[in-house]
Amino acid sequence: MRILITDDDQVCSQILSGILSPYGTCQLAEGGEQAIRMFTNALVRKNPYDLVCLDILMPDMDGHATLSCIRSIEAGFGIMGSAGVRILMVTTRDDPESITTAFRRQCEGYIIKPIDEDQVKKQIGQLRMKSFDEIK
Amino acid sequence: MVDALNNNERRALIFAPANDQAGQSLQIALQQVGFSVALVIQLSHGLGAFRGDRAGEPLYSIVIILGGQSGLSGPIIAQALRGVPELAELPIILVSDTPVPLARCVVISRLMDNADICALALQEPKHWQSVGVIRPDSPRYSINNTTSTVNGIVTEVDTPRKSSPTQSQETKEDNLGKATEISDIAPVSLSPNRSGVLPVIPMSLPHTVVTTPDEEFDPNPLLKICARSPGSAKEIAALIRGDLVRALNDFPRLQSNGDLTALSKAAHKIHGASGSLGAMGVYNTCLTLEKAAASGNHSECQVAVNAAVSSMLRFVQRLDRFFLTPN
Repeated sequence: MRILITDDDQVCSQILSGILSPYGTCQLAEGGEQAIRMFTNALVRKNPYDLVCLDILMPDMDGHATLSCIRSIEAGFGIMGSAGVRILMVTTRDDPESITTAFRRQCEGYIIKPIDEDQVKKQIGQLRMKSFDEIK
Repeated sequence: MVDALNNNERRALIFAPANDQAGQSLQIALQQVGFSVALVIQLSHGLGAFRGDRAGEPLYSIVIILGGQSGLSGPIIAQALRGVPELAELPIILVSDTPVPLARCVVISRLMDNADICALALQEPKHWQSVGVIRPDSPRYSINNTTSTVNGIVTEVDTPRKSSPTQSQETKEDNLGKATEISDIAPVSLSPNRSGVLPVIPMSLPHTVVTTPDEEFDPNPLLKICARSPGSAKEIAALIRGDLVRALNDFPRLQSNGDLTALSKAAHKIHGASGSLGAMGVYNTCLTLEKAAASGNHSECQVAVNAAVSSMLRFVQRLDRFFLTPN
């Protein structure tokens, strides 16, 4: 499983990486723009990510915009619906507007910080990702 | 400054690092030289441990802050003290046991607005020609061997000091960055007894022991997450420590500059990361600060900055202890 963790806060990135590294290879992006570049490169090289974790409050491109952008890129590659990457929002924003916006833009899960290992594993388990189920 | 130290009401308020003998040994040394009060408060407990004045009368004549200069917790405490009415006018001595880089001196100078800093260990004396230096790690402040301590003080009182008018300018400059003795901040005549040793004055005055729940940082979840790579737990801890040190500098500066948008973002960063490390004190105070700054309420921000700084200082102390534990 290939995992892209996007967070401008290195502490949160490293913690998520520590939680998820047993399940696959984690790569880190420090902002939305970098995440888009990495995501696109992975698709071009036919080695796409299986899971993207996205913070929302980031300085360059916020998580909502990054999420929309990723879905647009997938559409451009002909990837639709359940064939797309699983996207998990991991953020301190707990307001209903942010949560509904994220799901409207087609994320699969939403975790409110602080990051809790059990919560992350439970959310990813609910994504029904084959590679995760095998390891679990 | 010297007048404040020499007056008849010599009462010191000492902020010292936790688990460090420097505060207690300085407390003893100050009482040896005639201070009627030498109250020690752990640096990590910050202003939360300070308890006002005595029937409207100022309780202290000087504040001494040991350590925390490289991480800026020392000057942050000093700056915060300026907001306490009973302490606002007091001279403050910042004390470092290691040389403070010039860049850090400049930052401290800005933080303190160049006021009342009279002690820092220095690497670049020409910028700080008027400051003296106290080194709390000096053996004379040790309380492991009381006899040695007292003898050390007596010896130093008898030794010509850098303030001597007979010294050359070159010698004066050479002295900058070296240890200053207790007699420099409270010059008194000490008379050793027949054996050449000063009697130890009993600790009759109260010294505060402040207890705060140790809830700032529980490393176990982090260690569990990093079980496959134990060293990475300390790498993550080092990352958040760096963020905290920057925030200790940034929060008061942004607040005083009125840049509440940046303050809200800075608090948000610490808020998210600290909670994930189980530092719920910092998590909560930074969340409060983030909201206060976002709402644009300056007075709320002032209170929230002080609370956040206090909890972040405790978190840094916990992290520093964590670094000392084996992997």
